[in-house]
Amino acid sequence: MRNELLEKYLPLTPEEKEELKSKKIKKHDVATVFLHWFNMLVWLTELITGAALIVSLNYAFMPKFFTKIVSDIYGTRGNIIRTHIFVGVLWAIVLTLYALFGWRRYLKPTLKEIFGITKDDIGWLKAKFEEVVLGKKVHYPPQDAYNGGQKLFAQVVALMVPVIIITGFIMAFHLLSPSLIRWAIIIHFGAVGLVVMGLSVHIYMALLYPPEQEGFFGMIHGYVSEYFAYHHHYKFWRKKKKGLDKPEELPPKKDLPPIKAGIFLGIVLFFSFYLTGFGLGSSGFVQRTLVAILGAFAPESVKNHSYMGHYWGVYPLWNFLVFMGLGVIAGTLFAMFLAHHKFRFRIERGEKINDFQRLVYAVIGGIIVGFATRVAGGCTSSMALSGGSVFSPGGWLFMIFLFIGGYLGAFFFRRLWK
Amino acid sequence: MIGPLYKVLGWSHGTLLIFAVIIGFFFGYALYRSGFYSAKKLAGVFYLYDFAVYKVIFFAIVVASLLLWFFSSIGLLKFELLSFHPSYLWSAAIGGFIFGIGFSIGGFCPGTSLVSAVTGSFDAIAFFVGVYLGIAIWDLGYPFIFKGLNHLGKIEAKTMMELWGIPYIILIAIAIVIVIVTFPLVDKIEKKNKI
Amino acid sequence: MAKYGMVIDLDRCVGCQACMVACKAQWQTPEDYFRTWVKHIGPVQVKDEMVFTSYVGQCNHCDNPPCVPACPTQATFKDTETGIVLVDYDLCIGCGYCVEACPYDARFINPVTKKVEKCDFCFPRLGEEDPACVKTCIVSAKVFGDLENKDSYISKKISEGNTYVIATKEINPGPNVYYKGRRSKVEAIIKTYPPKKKDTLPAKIWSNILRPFVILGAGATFIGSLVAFLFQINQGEKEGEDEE
Repeated sequence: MRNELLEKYLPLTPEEKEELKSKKIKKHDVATVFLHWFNMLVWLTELITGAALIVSLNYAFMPKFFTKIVSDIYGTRGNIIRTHIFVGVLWAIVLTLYALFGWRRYLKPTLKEIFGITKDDIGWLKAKFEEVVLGKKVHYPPQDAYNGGQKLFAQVVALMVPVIIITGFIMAFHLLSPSLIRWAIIIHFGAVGLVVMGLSVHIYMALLYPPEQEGFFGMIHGYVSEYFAYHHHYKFWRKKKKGLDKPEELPPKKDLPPIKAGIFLGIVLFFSFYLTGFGLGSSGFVQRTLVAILGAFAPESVKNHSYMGHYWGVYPLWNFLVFMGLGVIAGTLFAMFLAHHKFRFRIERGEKINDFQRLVYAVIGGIIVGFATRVAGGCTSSMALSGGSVFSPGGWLFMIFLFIGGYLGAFFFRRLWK
Repeated sequence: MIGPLYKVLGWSHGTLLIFAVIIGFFFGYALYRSGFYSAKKLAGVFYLYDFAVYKVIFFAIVVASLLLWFFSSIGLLKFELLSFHPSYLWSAAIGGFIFGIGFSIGGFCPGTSLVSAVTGSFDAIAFFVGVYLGIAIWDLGYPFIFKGLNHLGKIEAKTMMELWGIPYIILIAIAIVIVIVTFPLVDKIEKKNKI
Repeated sequence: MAKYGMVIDLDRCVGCQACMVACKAQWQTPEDYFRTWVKHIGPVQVKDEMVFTSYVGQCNHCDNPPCVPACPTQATFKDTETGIVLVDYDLCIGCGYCVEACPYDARFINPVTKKVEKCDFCFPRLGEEDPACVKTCIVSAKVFGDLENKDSYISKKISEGNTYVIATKEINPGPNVYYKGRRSKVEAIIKTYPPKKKDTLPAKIWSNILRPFVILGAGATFIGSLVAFLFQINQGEKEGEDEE
C-alpha cells in the first residue's frame, strides 16, 4: 500500500484493492450496534402502536384497516397505549443510561462527528442530489465516518429524540397544564414525522442500495472492509490508519472534602423538603421493592399483612422513595463519570480477612442493619439526616445510639478492618 | 413560592415521583462525591481513621436546618407541612444501637451500599442483599415475634422544638457549637490513627 | 341499538339545583367542577318578552359531536350501542382538545385525575335506574329514555311538541338533550350562553400546516425510495463497485 494514500484520496491499483478488501476495520462499537438495533425494535413498536392510537378524524393518517388490525392484536386500545408508554419509558431509560454512561466514550464523539458539518458533507449532499435527480455522473468528496446524508439524518434524530421523549412524558403522565399537553401532542407528531421522513431513505439506503450494503453488515458485527471504508469514508479510514481516533484519558478526581460534601448534601436535603415536604431516605426503597417482589407471589397475603400491608398503598413501587432510589442509581453513575472513575468489580476488606469472609460479614452486617431500620423506622438517611435536620427527637436518639452501637461493634470486630 | 411545593401547589403523584428521581439523582451524586462508595472510608468513623461520615452528616444537618429555618422564618416554607417521623424514642434508640453494630460489621448503611453496589463493589452488593434479608426477616416475623417493637416509647411531640419549647434556631446553634467543638477533635484523632 | 336522550322541562324546573348535588354525589367531582349545572338566566329580553328561566345543562350527546374528531387518541367516542358519548379513561391523556371543541362547555379536565370528565348519562347505572339527576329531580323536570323507542315516555314527551334543542343555524351538532317549554325560554338560553365553535391554536397548526407537511414529506420520501428501488431493479444489479 502506498503511503500517499494516507494523505490524499487516490484511485487504487488492483493489488491495493485486493489488499484492502481482505482487511477489516472496526467501524462501530458494540454499544453503538446494540443501541442501533434496540432503537430499531423500539421505533418499530412505537410507530405501529403510535399510528394505531391516532385514529380520530382530525389527526389520523393511517387507513382504518391498519388501526383495526393493531387493535385486534392488542385486544383493547387501552393495551396499545399502555404498550406505547411502557416501551417509550424503557427506551428513555436506556437512552439516558447510554448518555450518562457513554457520554465521553460514545455520545460526545458521535455528536461532535455528526454536528461537525464540513464542506465535504455539503458537497456530498449536492453530488447525491445531482446524481439521483439530475442523473449526472458525479464525484463524491471524501467523507468522515458518516457521510453527508447519514449526518443529516443523524442530526434530525439527535435533535428530535429528546423532543419526542419530553413531549411523550408530558402526554403520558399528564404533566404541567392541559394547554401544554395540547402543544406536546402536535410537537410529538411533528418530530416523529421528521424522523420518519429520514427513516425511509435510511432504510432504503441500508437495505436495498447495493453500494451501501457492506455498511449494513457493518452495523451488525461492527466491522467493514478497509476497501469499503476507503471508498465511502476516506477521512475516517485515514484517521483510523493514523491512530488518531483514541479518546484521551482523564485523571480520576479526588473525593470532595467532607465539609464541601456536607454543604452539598445539606442543600439537597433542604430542596427535598422544600419541593416535596419529604426528606431523603433509602431503607424505604428496599422495603417497598421487597413488598413488590413478595406481592408478586402472594398479593393478597401481602396486602393484608399487619406490617407489609402498610407499604402496599396503590402500588408499592409507585412511591417516592422507590423513585428516589432510581435517581440515586443514576446520580451515582453520573458522579462516577464526572469524577473520571472507572467502573470496576472489586471487594474492599481489611487485611486480616479474605474475600469470602468479607462477603459473609457484609451479608451479616446487612441483615443486622436491615432489621434495625425496621425497628427504628428508618436508616441513616431518613432518621439521622432528615430527622436530624428538623430536630426530631427520634432522629437524634437514633444517631446517638448509632454511634454508641458502632463504637461498641468496632471494639469487638476491629479484626475485620485493621 | 411557598413550600413544600408538592403540598402547597397540589402536585400530582406523578410529578412528585419525577421530583423524587431528580432529588435522588443529586442525593446519589452527593453520596458518591463524598467518597461513600468505599466501605473502608465509611467504617473509618468507627475505627477512628476517617471521620468523613460524621463530618458530612453533621454538616449536612446544620446546612439543611439553617436553610429550613431561614425559609420558614421569612415565610417561604410552611414548616408544619413537612412530613416528620413519628417519635418512638425507645424504638429509635434500640434501632440505632443495632444499626450501629451492623454498620461497624458490614461497613455500609442502606443508602451508601446502594451507591457502592452500583459502582461494582461486591461487598456492597452482599450488604445490600443482607439488608433485603434483614427487612424480610422483620416483615415475615412481624406478626409473630416483633410486633410492637417499632412502636416503643411513643411521645406526641414530633420535634424537639415542640418537646422542650426551645426555638429552632437555638437548637441549630447548639448543633453548630457541637460542630465547632468536635471537628478539630476528630481531626486530631484521625491524624493519630491514619493508616 | 338505542339512542338515549333527555328531555328537560323548563316550565317545570324550579332551579333548585338538586340535580347538581345528586350528580356531584354520584361522581365525586372536585370542588368547582360539575358534570351538570343549573344557571339562572334573566332578565333577558327576547323579542317582546322578558324571560327568567334556568339553564339546566350537561353533555348533549350530539349526533355529530365536535369533541370526538378533536380527540387525538379517540378516547372520546360515540358508543354505537347507546348513542352516548363516552370517554375511555385508558386512552385519555388530558390534553383538553375536546374541552375546547365542545360548543356547550360540558367538559372539564379533572385536576385530580388529570383526565377529562363530563356527563355520561350515568352510564354504569344504565338499564338499572335513571341517571342520578333524573332520579333526584323533585318536580320530574328531567326525563331520560330511548329516543328510538317510539313507545317510551320520552318519545311521547317529545311528540307533545314544544321541544327545542340548543343550537343555532351555524352550530348544530345534533344535540340529544331536548328542552321543553316556551320557545322564548330556549332562545333566552341561546342568547346568554350561545353554543360556540372554537379551534385551538395547536389544533389549527396541526391540521393546516403540520399534518399536510408530515403526510407529504413522509409520503414523498417513501415514494422516492420506492422509485429509486424500481429504477435499480430495472437497471439490473450492479456489483457494489462504485468506481470513481
